[in-house]
Amino acid sequence: MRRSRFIFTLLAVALLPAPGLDAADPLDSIPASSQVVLVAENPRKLAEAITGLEAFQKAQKLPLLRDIYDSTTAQRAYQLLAFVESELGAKWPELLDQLGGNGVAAALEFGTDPAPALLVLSGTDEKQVTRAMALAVQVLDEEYARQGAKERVNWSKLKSVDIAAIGSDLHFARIGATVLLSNKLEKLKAAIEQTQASQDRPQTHPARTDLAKVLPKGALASLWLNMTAVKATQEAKDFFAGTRGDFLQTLVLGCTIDCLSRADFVAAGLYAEPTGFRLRVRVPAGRDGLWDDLALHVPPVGQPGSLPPLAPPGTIASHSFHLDAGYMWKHRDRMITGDTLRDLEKAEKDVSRIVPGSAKIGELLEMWGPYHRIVVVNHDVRPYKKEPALKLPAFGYVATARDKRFLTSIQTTLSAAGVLGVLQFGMKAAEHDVDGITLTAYRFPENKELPEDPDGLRFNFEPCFAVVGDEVVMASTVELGKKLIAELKKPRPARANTKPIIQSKLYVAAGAAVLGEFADPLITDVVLGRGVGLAEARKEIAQLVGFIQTLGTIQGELEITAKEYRVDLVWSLFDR
Amino acid sequence: MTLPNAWAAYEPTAANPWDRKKVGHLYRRAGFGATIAELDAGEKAGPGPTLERLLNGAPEADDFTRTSAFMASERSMPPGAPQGRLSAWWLDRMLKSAHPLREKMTLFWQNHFATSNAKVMNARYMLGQYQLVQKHSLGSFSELLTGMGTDPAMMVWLDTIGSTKGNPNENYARELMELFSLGIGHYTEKDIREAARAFTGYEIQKSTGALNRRQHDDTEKRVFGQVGKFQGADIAKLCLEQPACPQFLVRKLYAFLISESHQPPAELIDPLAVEYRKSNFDTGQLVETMLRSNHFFAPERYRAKIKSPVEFVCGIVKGLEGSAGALPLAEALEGLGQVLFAPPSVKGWDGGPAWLNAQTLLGRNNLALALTSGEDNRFGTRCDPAAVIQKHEVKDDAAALKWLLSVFLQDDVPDAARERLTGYLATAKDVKYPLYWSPTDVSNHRARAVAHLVLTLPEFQLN
Repeated sequence: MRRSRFIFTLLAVALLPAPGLDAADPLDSIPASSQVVLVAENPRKLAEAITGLEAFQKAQKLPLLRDIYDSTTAQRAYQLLAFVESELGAKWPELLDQLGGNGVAAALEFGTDPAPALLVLSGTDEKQVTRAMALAVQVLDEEYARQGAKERVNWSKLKSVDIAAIGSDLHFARIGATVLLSNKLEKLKAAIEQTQASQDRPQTHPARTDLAKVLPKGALASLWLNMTAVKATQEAKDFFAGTRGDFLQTLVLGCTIDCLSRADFVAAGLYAEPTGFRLRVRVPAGRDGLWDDLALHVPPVGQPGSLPPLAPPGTIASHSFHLDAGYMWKHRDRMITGDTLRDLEKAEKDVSRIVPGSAKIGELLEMWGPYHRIVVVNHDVRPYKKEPALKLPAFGYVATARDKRFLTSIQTTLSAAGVLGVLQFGMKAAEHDVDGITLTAYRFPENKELPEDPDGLRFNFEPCFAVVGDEVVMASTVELGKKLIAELKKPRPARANTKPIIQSKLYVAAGAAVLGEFADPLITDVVLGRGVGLAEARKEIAQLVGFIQTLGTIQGELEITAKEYRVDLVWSLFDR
Repeated sequence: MTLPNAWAAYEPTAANPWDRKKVGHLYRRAGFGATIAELDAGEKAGPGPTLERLLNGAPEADDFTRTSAFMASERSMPPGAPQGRLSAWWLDRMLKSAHPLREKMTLFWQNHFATSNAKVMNARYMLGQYQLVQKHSLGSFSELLTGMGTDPAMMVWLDTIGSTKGNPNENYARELMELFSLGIGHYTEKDIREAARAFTGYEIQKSTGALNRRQHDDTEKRVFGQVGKFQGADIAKLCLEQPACPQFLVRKLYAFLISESHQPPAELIDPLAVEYRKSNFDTGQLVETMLRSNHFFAPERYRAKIKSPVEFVCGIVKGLEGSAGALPLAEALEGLGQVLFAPPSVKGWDGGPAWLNAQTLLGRNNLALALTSGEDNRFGTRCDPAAVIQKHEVKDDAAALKWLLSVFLQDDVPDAARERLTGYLATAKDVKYPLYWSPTDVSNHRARAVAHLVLTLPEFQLN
């Protein structure tokens, strides 16, 4: 150990007189040519926000991750960290401050393979940065020697800055308390010149100004993507040009693609919230200039973007969105092309023949309202005594009516479909009175074999529908149908946010119950995957389910304002 | 060795003593390799008790039986269960069963009937076939062959389910004669066409093969010169009665247990074939005769086979007393050319030299490294040479090498290979290790590295 300390000290001394002043902002070292930039202003705060999470600490105790923690690689990493802490005389949070306290940034440039990448650590303690770099060089050199590799650390100089290189894929240098690492020597040289130029004449990287324009301060980490550069690539040009001609893309991602095609950059920021984290994604292009046919997704100004997501008891996932199917049908000749249009028009003629008494598809779509809500819910009681091989949660859909005639037409169509179920599968129809609302339901007989369904999947379904006010409820089980009727009869919450055109919420804890339904194959995979016993595997899966139950909710919203496309994802750990 | 006493039971002599090499040979052929304790016990006990132990197996542990049944239940292994889980389930049995010979013979018969889940696409049917094969693996081939005719996996695999009166499918009848009982040259095309009519009308009802008489051709058929209103079981019986049948099966089992490169003369096979027929195709008796014999323990049969991927993998895990997961092992086996429950064709795996090529050799090397390095997340340190060496209180590098060579190669390695391994350990001591490594890290690393080198020796690829 004494010999190693001597070598380390020698290396540190050799590296000490590195010239230059600190580049406080890591973005000052990133060449303007970089197209993707990721920056953490305060890496310690980011690290502590993650490691301080109860979920993070619990995850570390999960037996499923034990193999990773016990692996030789992980054990060596811990030993290395302990060694570094010991050599530099500080614990890792303090070291993060000393070595990257002014920020850490990573940048990428498209074009070549591998893409030139750059990592900048802007430290607060030049002496410690110098010692850390010497230690890193020594450890790397020893690791290569152990592996019997030919590579050794090679030194060169650029404008009085020492550059260390290992092979052709790792180059690093220190300027004051800033450390630069790159997989390309040219990229590293550009970063050195950029850092030195910034010291002489302060420069602001476009990422810095763009991020400040659209994101609030205080992000734990931010990402900037130069869309001007992306759009200049042939692949992007082809992609954006093809969108308008592709009905499926328009239907699913029309607004997103259109906003991206008009934006100069994309910004994203991760923020700590009292109950978890929020990810904000901002694109500086919005409703102004949106392609006309995207009225499919975006309501006229002043109308709600979407209705509040439904949340009956036991909800696993809830999704609310705006989609004006009537607009799509009205403008089908322009929006839908080729075979898709022919198939749709053929289906319109066929359906009324197959399902007697039902309305035509086109008429239905035009009367159908633009607000849709879908919900997936755990069962309180399973719908049948017979259990299916694959147990599915219940799901429901609530549609709005643009025209009151829709309510009658859809009921007629659904009743006609029900008759088919009765005739083909021997289903039995029943009507339930739910607080004055008639819920029409169809039930499979439990005493009859169905060769087409040997696994009994049908015993997940007891399809039903009802009309509540100007909305239609369709559900896979009577239990959920009843719950949805109760939800719709409640007064709408006063503080409900109706601006977003899409709102989704995933109740991770409730999802854990679904995982519980699939416990046996999971337990089997643990036994076979890790060679543990049955009792231990059962315990591990129970622990995993328990852990997932603590993960709260994930909520997503998409809002399109006049000038901006906004996505917010909120992970709330205490909303269970 | 003269032919008359080839199948007589081996008795140790001063010139041909019972030793560790023979224990290893027996455990490799009749099982999937041995632990150091099994080698020690076998060497001490002598051939009789060691053979008894392997032939009879030990009662399965309750935990093993319970776990294996749980994993084979319909909830854990539904019809559409992934191939990896299905393969891993069987590999897990091979690794943990207290009766490895039964699993080995199940592997033999599964490859004999060579049914692949790639076409069957139903894990329940494949498990059903496994149960049929395993039940008769050391029992009656007569019952096994008859049962196979109404086995749902086989019915899907060779299209019996689509074979109806007026539209018979010949696939099963053809393979029954060519691959399952007689071999080419012992039947005619007419026999196949006639026999195919006997297999019409079989359907899968509630996961069981059953005869639908309305779809069955119940007219007379002429097969092997005999005439009757034959059904499937009758054709199996007719095949079993053919003189070629025991000959064909004994030769195939000889290749599996004794040598795939040596073509045994008829004088060697005939006595066994006669006995096999006399015993009404008692496979257990035939296997016992082979494993006990002078011929089996003859020097020419030692390391005369190439390890299949399954034997390679199980040998490592058993030798290292590890608990590596069967799922990643089964996935790795695919890269080595052997997916359990999914042989490549109706002929099964070619075996022998076909197991080895540049790609599979590299694959074996990489898998051995992944298992022993402790740095591969699929296996972690569940198969750690450093840990097993420590468990057996092996103190230094030389002793560690001796231990590893003993368990994996019964210390039977060429001098040059031994010198290379010793040389590696000597140079490894001079390597400069990173400062943060403890002395234990360094010695564990050497143990893992030398274990990997042992497992990549050519001798370890041989069975």
